[in-house]
Amino acid sequence: MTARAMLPRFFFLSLVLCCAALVRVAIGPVGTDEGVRLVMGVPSADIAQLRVLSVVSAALVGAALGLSGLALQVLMRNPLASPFVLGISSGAGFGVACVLVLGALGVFSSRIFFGEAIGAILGAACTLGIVARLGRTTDGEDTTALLLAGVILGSMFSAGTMLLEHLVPHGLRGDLLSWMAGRLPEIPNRAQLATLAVVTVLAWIVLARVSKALDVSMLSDDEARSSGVALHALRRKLFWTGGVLAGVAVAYAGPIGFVGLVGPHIARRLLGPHHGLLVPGSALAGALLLVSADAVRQVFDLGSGRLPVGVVTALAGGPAFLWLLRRGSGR
Amino acid sequence: MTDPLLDATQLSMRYGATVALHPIDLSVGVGEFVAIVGVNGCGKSTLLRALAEVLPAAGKSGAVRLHGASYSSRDAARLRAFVPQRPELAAEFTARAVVGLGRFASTPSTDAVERALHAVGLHGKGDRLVTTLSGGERQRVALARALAQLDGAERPILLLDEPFAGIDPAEVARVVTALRAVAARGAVLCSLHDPGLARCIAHRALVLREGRVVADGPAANILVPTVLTKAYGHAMEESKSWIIPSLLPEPAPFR
Amino acid sequence: MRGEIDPATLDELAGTQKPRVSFVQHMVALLVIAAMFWLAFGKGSPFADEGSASRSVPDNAAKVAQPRPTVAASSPAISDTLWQLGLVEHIVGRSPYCTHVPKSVPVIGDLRDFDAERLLLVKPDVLFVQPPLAGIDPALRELCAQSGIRLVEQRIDSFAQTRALVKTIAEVFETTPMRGADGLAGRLAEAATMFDALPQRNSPSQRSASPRDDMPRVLVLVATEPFLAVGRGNYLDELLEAEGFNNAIDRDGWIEIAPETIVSIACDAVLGVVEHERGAARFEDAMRALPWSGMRPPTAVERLPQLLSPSLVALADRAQLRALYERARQATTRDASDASSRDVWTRREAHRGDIGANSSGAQKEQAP
Repeated sequence: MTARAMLPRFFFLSLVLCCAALVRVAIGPVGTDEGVRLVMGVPSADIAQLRVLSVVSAALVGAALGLSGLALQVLMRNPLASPFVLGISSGAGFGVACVLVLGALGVFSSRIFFGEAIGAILGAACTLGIVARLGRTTDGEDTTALLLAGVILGSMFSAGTMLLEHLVPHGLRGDLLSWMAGRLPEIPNRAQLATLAVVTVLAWIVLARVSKALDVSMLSDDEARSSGVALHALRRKLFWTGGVLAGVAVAYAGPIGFVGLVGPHIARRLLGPHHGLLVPGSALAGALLLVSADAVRQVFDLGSGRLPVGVVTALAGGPAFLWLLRRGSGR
Repeated sequence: MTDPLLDATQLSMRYGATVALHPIDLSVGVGEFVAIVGVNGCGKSTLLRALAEVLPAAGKSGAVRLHGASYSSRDAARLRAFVPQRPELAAEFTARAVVGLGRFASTPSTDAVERALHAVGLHGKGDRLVTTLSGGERQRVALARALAQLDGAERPILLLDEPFAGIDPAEVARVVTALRAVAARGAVLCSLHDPGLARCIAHRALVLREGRVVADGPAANILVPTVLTKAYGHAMEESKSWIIPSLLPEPAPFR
Repeated sequence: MRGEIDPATLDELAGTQKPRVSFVQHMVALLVIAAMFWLAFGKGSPFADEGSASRSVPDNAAKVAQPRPTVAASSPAISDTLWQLGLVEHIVGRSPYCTHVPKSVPVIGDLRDFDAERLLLVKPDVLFVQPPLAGIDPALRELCAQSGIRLVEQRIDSFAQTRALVKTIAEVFETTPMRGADGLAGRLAEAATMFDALPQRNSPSQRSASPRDDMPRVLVLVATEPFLAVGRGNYLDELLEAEGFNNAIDRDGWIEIAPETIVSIACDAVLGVVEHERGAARFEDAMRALPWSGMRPPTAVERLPQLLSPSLVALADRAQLRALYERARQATTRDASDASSRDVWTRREAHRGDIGANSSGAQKEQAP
C-alpha cells in the first residue's frame, strides 16, 4: 500500500468534488414564464459568479473543517474528536451573542463591519487561549486535561449564551438562533473568503510538513520521543492549527457539524492511515462533503425553502460513513 | 581512554512524593550486553526510560551522554533506540509500515526495513496489519522498528524493557541473535524478569531494588542465589531455563 | 525453607492502614446536611406552602391602585392591541418583550414559560394567552382555575383572529363604568372599521379577489441571513392586499428564499420590514451585493417592529407599507447613477399602465 497506489483514489475524490461543484453551479432557480423553476444552465454572468463563489466558500469551509478534525483527532488520539471538541463553537457563539447584545444596547453602531464574524473570532480565540492554559503541564499539553477544559468551557459559554439570549431583544433572538444552526453565507464576502483561504492554506502547509512526525506519533509516547519526534512541539502545533481552523470556519459559517468528524474518517477509509495522504485527503473529503451538501440543498425544497446546510451534512454524512464502515470491516 | 558509549550521571526520578529512582551513575561501553533485573516496581522501567530520555521533565534530574556528548532528540535518535514494555500502535499500519517509522530520524531505507524484519523473523508477515498479529509478533515488530532505527549507526545503543515478554521459546533464540548483533557493534541494555535467561544471554547484570543499584558486575557472578535472595527479598533457587540449544553458538548475520 | 515469604515483609507490603473518620467529623457532616434540609424545606423557603405569602407586597394594596378589571398579557401582540385600545393602565402583568407597557409592570412570562409566582402575585382578573401549537400547559390551566383567574386562549396568526381577540376584550371590559368615559367605545368602533376595511378572505391563503395587474407586485423580506420572505396566508400578506399590493410570492407561510430566486422573481419593489437597525443595515448591504445584472428594482427598508406581530397596532399602522413603497420609488428616481434601474422602472410603470388600459386578456405571471 504505497502512497503511489493511492493516487487513483485521490483522483476519484477530486472527481466527485468537481461533479458536486458542477451540479451546484449548473442547476439553480431561473425566472421563466411559468415562474421560478429549477433548471440546468446559468441565467447570467452575475449569477454564475455568485454560484462559483458559493462553491469556493463551501469548499474552503469544508477543507478547513476536515483539516481541523484531523488535527484534533490525532491530538486527542481519539477518532471521535471533532473541530468543536475544544469548546470553540460555544465560545464563538458566545462572542456572537455579545456582539448582538452590545449592538442592541447601542454600545457601538449596529452598522459595524463584520460585527458578528469579529465576535465569533474573538470568542473562539478566547476559548482556545483558556483551554491551552488549562491544559498545559510542565511537560506540554495533557490531552485529557485539554478535553476536559474544552468540555467545561463549552458548557460555560453555552450557559452564557443562553443568558444573553434571554437578555437580547426579541428580534435579535432569531439572528442568534439562525447563526447557531450553521449556514454558509448567502452572498459570500470576498474579503472574508480570502482570509479563510489564506488561513486554510497555511494550516495545510503546516500539517503537511509534519505528516511523517504525525505517523510516528501513532506509536506510544515513549517510542515516538525516542524516535526523535518532539512530541510537545508537535502537539502544540496540532492544537493551534486545529483550533484556529475551527475558529475561522465557525466565524465564517457558524457551527456546521459533522464535516470535521466524518471527513478524516472518509479519508482514512479510502486512503489509508498514513498522514502524508491523510492531510490532503481530509481537506478534500471535507470540501467534498460540504459542497455536496450545498448542492443537494439547492435542489431539494420542501415547501418552505431550503434546509440549513448543517441538517443536510448530518443527513448525508451519517449514512455515507456507515457505508464506509461496513465496507472496511469486510476486509 | 575513549568515551563510554552511554554515560549517565546522577540520574534520578520522582513522581510527586515517591522516589522511583535514587541518583544513579552508570557507564556502558562498546560490546556490552547488560541485563537489568529486580522485582516489579524496583525501577527497571524508570531507569531505562531515563536512559532513553523519554521521562517527563517534572521530577527528573541527572544527565545522559551518548558517545561522550549530548545530542538533540532527533540526532540522538540516530544513535539510540528504545522499546518500552508495552508498545502500542494507534492506527492500522502494516508491520512493514511500522518498522519503516523507525527511519524517521534518518533517511528512509527499504533495505534497513527488510533487514530488520528478517532479523526478528517476520519477513513473511510484512504486509499484515499489526492488529492481526499475535502479542509476541507485535513485540517483535516493535523490536524490528528499533533495529531499523539503528541500522547504519556505527555504535548503536539499544534499550529494551522486557523484550522477551510474550515471545515463545522458539523465537527467543532469534531475538537474542538480533540483539547480540547490535551488542557486538554497540551496546544493549534490557530488563528481564527471568534471571535465568539473563544469565544465558548477558555479559553484565545490574540488580535493582527500590530504586537503587544493589549489584553491578559480570552476569555469571551476579545472577547467583545469594545475591538474588537479597535482591528479591525472599529465597531464590536456581533452576534451568528452557532454551533452544542453537542459542549457544552465534549464527551468521543475515546479508 | 523453600521460598516462603517472610511475614514481616508481608506487613511492609500491605501498606499503611486506612485513615478513619472521627466521630466529630461524622457529627459535623450530619449537622450540615440537616441545615441544608431545613433551608430547603423549612419555613420561609421557596418550596414552602404558598399559603404563607407574608413576604411580598400585600395583594389588596396592589389591587386598589389598579383600575378593574385587571389583565395580564403574555405576548406583545396582545399588549399592543390593549395599548391601541387605550387599556394599558389595566395591564398588571406583561411578557419580557412587550414594548408599550411600562417597565415597572412585572413580567409574568411569555408564550413558552410562565412565572407562576408572579402571576399569583399580580392576580389579574383575566390572563390573555396565545397558546402554542402543542396546547397550553395543563398546570397553568389548573393554576388559573384555582386562583380565580379567567384564562382566555386566542391564537393570533391572522387578523380574523385579532378581531376575535378584540371582541373578547370588549366583552371583558363590558362591565366597566369607564367604557363610555375614556372613549373605549370609540376606539372599539375604530377597530371595527379597520377590520371591516380589510379584504375578507374565505381561507387565509386565498386572496379576496384575483390579483390585478395594475397593482404593484412587491416582495417583502423580514430577515436577511437567511432571506425570509412574506408568503401567503399570514397577517402581513393580508396587510399587503389591503394596501393594494400583489405579493410576489405565491406560497404559504414564511418562505426561505435563495438570493438567485430574489433576482429571478419579477417584482416592482423589494421591501424590507425589520425589527432593529442592524437588520436594516444588513438588508441594504444584501440588496447592494445581490447579482442583479443591472436590473435592480427599487428597494427600501424600514424599522417597523409594530408590523412584525399581528396586533391592532399593525393594522393601524398598515399605511407604513405604502409609505415604504413610495420611499423605494423615490429613491430610485433620485438615484442618478442607477440609470438602468430607472429605465426598468419606467418600463414597468408604462407596462402596468398599458395593462390597466386593457385589463382583460393580460397574462398573469406567477411566482413559486
